[in-house]
Formats: sequence, C-alpha cells, structure tokens
Amino acid sequence: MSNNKLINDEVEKTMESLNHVEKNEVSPFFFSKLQGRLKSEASASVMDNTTLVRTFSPVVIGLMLLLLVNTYTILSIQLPTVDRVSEIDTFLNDYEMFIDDEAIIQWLEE
Amino acid sequence: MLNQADLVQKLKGGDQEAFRFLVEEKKNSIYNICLGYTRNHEDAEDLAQDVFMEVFRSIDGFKGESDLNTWIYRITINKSLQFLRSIKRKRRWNQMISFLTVDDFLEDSEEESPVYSSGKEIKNEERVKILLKAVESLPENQKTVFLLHQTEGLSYQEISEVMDTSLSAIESLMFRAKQNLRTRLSSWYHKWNIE
Repeated sequence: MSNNKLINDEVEKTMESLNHVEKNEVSPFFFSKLQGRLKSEASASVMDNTTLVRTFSPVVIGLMLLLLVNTYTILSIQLPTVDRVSEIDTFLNDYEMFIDDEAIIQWLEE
Repeated sequence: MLNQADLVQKLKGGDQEAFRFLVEEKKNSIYNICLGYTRNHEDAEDLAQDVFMEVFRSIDGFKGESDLNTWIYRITINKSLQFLRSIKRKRRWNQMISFLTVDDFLEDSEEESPVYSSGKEIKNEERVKILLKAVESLPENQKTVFLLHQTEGLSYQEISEVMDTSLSAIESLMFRAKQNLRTRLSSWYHKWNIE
C-alpha cells in the first residue's frame, strides 16, 4: 500500500476518532465545588459592600457634621438680630413709645 | 421531571434544588464541549463551573426567547473562546520573552510528535488528541461548529440557533472546517512519515 494511501486512511480514521470515544465525566465533587465558589463569590460581594460602607461612612458623617455646623453658624448669626428687635420692642412697649418695625430695623442697620 | 418553563421559573426564584437539577443534567455535556476547546481536564472543569456560575448570575436576564439549552451553549462557547483568547495572549507574551532565551524558543516551537513513528498502530485515544490539536488551529467559528457537532452531536439546525446564524452558513463552516482539518492532519502525517 502506498504511503499516501496510508496517510489518507489515517486522516479519515482521525477525523472519525471522536465518534469512538466514551464521553468524559466531571469529578463527583463538581456540584459541591460549584456551590463553594458561588458562596465565596457571594461573601466577597458582601465584603465589598461592607468595605464600601466602612470607607464612605466617615465621609458621610463628616459631611453631615459640616452641614450641622454651617446651619448652626447661620442661625446664630441671624438670631441676635431677631433678639435685639424683640428686646427693643419690649423696651418701647414698656415706655409706651410707638415706632414701627421698619424704623427699628433701619435704626439697627445704622 | 421538570419542564423547561417550570425549571426557569424556579431558577429565577433562586431555588437551589432546581439549580442542582440543571447542573446534574448538563454538567457532562458542558464539560465535554469545554474539553474540546481547552484539551485539558482541569481547565475544562473550571470553565464548566464558570458557565454554571454565569447561568446562576444571569438567569434573571433569560427572556425565554430561545431554548434554555441553546442559551447555556451560547454561554459555554463565549466562555471557552474567552479562555482561548487569554491563553493566546499569554503565549504571545511568553514567545516575546523566549526570544531573549533562544534555546527555550526553539524547544517550544517544536511540534508534538505522536507515538507511532515506531510503526505501531495508533490508538484511538492518540487520534483524538491529534484531532483536537488540529481543531485548535481552526478559526473560531469553524472550531465551534465542529466541536458542537462532534462532541455533543448537535444538529446543524441546533448549532445555527446557538450561533445565531443561518443553516447554510453552518453547513459551509462545517465543510471548511473538515477541509482544513484534513489538510492539517495530512501535512502532519507526512511530516511524521507514517510507515
């Protein structure tokens, strides 16, 4: 038989070789390994979220504190004006003097 | 036995038993397809696990427009091709490095020779290895058609659904895959000089 004929036969046998093999099977621990991987992935994602909260919570708390301090400062700047107006109002009432609010504010601004 | 609609509904509801049922039903099929791509049992098993993890993660996005098996085969092919691409990238990198050490490069570039130079009859197991080595050299779409048909016995119609291509395109891909494989094998056998 010529070498070419042999080679062609061998090529055909090789092409057909997958038809004569038994199917391979995965290891018996396939599902438990898969479950393990899914669990570790889930816990990793929880860890990620916790890390996110841990990283960002000081920032959020800081921002809230800053907002609180700002609000307090704004209010404390405005409060004395209101207090002084009511103080003058009380004084004027005590001495039965009648000046309208606009005049008091104008006077305070001066 | 669950029908597909019930199975999908249960999977979407996070039913562990339904997931176990699916894995037990499909694990060997998926593994054998992956093995065709990787030619390595360990990588094939890891890849098959990646496939089921993706199924578990993405089942909510499964709209039921195609068969569940078709959808799982698509995931398998995508994962397998991604794996092969990453291997190719690593090989290219290793080749670049091995240029620096000439001896290693020459050693790596030598092709594996089968056991039959001694004149013994080649065992079918060896032929399978040679065939899968030749399959590795095929373009991606020819490789996919050949492996789905040969390892899983999928019909051309089923393959056309998995690959979202026309039936005639699949027939043409299969024809070219076989032609390329015969050419490749013939050149190897000539090179190894069977007697």
